[in-house]
Amino acid sequence: MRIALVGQPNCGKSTLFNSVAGYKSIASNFPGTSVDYTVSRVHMEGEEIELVDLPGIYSLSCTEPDERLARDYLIRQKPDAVINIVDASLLGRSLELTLELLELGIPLVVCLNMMDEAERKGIRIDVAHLEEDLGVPVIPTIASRGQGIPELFEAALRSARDRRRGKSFYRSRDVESAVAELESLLGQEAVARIGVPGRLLALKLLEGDEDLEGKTRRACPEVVPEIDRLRESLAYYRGRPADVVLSSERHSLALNLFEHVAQVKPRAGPALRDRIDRYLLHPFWGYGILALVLIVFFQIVFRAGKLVEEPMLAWFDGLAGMLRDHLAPDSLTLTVAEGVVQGFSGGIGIVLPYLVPFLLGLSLLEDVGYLPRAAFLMDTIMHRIGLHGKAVIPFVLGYGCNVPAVMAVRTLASERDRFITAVLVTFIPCAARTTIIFGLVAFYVGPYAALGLYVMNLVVIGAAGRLLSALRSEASPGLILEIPNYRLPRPRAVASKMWFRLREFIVVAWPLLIVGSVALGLLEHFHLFGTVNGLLAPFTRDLLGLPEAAGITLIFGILRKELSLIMLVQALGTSDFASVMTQAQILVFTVFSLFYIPCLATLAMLRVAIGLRATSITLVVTTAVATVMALVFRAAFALFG
Amino acid sequence: MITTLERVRDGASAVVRDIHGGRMLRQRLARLGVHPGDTVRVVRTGYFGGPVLIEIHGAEVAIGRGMAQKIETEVVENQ
Repeated sequence: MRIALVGQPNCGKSTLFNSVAGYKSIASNFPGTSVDYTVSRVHMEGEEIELVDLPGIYSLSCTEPDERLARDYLIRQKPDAVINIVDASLLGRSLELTLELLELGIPLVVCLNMMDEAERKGIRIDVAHLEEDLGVPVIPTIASRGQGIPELFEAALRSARDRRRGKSFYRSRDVESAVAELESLLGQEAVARIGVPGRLLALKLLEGDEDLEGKTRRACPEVVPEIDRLRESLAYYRGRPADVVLSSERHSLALNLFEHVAQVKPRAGPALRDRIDRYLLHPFWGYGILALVLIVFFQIVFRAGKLVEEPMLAWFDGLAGMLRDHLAPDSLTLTVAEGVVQGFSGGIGIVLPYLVPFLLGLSLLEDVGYLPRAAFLMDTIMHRIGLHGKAVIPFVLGYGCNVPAVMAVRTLASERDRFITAVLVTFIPCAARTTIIFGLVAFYVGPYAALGLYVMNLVVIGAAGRLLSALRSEASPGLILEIPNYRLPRPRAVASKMWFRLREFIVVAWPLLIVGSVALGLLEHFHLFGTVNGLLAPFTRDLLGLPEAAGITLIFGILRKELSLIMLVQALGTSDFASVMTQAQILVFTVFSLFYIPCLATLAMLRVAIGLRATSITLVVTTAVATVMALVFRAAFALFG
Repeated sequence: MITTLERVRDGASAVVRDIHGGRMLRQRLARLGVHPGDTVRVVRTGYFGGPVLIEIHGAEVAIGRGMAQKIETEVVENQ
């Protein structure tokens, strides 16, 4: 038995899934966080249920990647029943999706969630009435408290066994006759081949669904001109484009249903959210609070991280020492073993101290509902670099670690925005690069020079953003973002989301770190550092004017950024860099480290988020920018230094 | 008074009359319940060219300035 959960973003779908399935899915208060779907096996009433948590969708149209995923799943996999979770406090709007789901012909149960919030908003819903109108079971629930969930699954199982389907809702006569004509033109055989129920297919084709039109063109090309004709005739008689006619019909059906079953009492006085938003979205206080939130957030993450990282790495150093005591010196086994230990410690050194508090804090901000508000505030600034407000979240994350930042890129709607944001995010000095800036520039050149580097970095990001936007000139779709209510974060939801993201890092990036560490260990074992330095010399020594020995440290930096600094000590044989490097060399080295190739872990996430081709482009862009900026600094020093 | 959405004053309600954009824009707005004929309330307009926050069918939705300029509305007078 397979049951799919479908609902609009923020309807409490993942909370419901988590409450029955355990720690396996993302539940969040930022619209559109789960781009993949999660499956869990649950036992209920002696039956094994495969429960599928599909991404939140506003409709069965295909304008966003997550909508396509959800629709394709429903059409191809044909679950035995669909639970449509509806935020009861937003019933009028949510019923549009319900109307579309009814057309799928899959047994449907409507879960009227967040009944408490609806009550607070003064909305009273006549459940029995709604059930009668829709022709499917409607179960009121409060998922965050577990209320109504057993009844919900009972109803879903019963509907699945009885193959109970809901009603179809009739549109105006002209639309209905166009739908009927199109259905008969398509014919049953073509409809079966396309795999979408005929009525739904006809409705969607009239609405101008490109994905389904493509499928129709392949199945029966002769019908396509007929679709255009029907659309034009609808548009002619209604005086509005056919897609508007169709979506307005659905919209008014939903609103009529809502008025039929719900009573709304106007609330006295402003809601709590309005009182909070008055400050958090204030043109002055709003930005002040945003800055404060970010500063406190990073302070906590860095301090917590430092506290854990040092003893952790000391323990691993001890382990490496033990290996050296027990294995033959200079043996291949020792090299490989040391590489593995280093890869592990690298992963743990990033994961436990920084990623865990970081993801925890992020999940909290997300679940409280602050992130969409940050997007609102930053929209205007992000516009100047050709992006929009939602892209600010990856940027903020980037200062902690580029890995979760790249993960967050996936919440953006358009491929163009994802690509530009991902490339720019890799320029942001993460915690590791911050240690290089502080360890080298702040210490040897001065704190203001370090600050200057941060400013320069922002300028470069801005310029690169404008350049990339000009190259990808198709307009950014712009910000359309639901600003949800504030909610108290639920520890279970926060923990499960953190674990979900952490697991992604562990599975994708960590193995690469271990392999990379072993590879570098082998280079050292076969005394190839000199060769690598020699190969890189035309670039490092001649072009950038760095000491030749710095070459290998930049290779290590690809593994983990702060290794560049640590290896520089080894390569130069001293930790007093001022004695072997000029200030110009220190600056050029830092600037190059700041921009060039992101670390392996980030690269692995990039590949998942934006694909192999875009990742390769990122490699080229970052290296080019790093070289140009390093040369600019070298030239500036030669001229004015 | 007929004007585009970003010019509606904070706290005022307005009826959406038309959306001057392609099908993509219309559909993206329709997903969140914004259709011609709907009444929206402008909660606040972001400063420095920021987005417009509207209340529509009980939900609050932020709409980027560029898009708001394409939404023609009629302000509901004397409320």
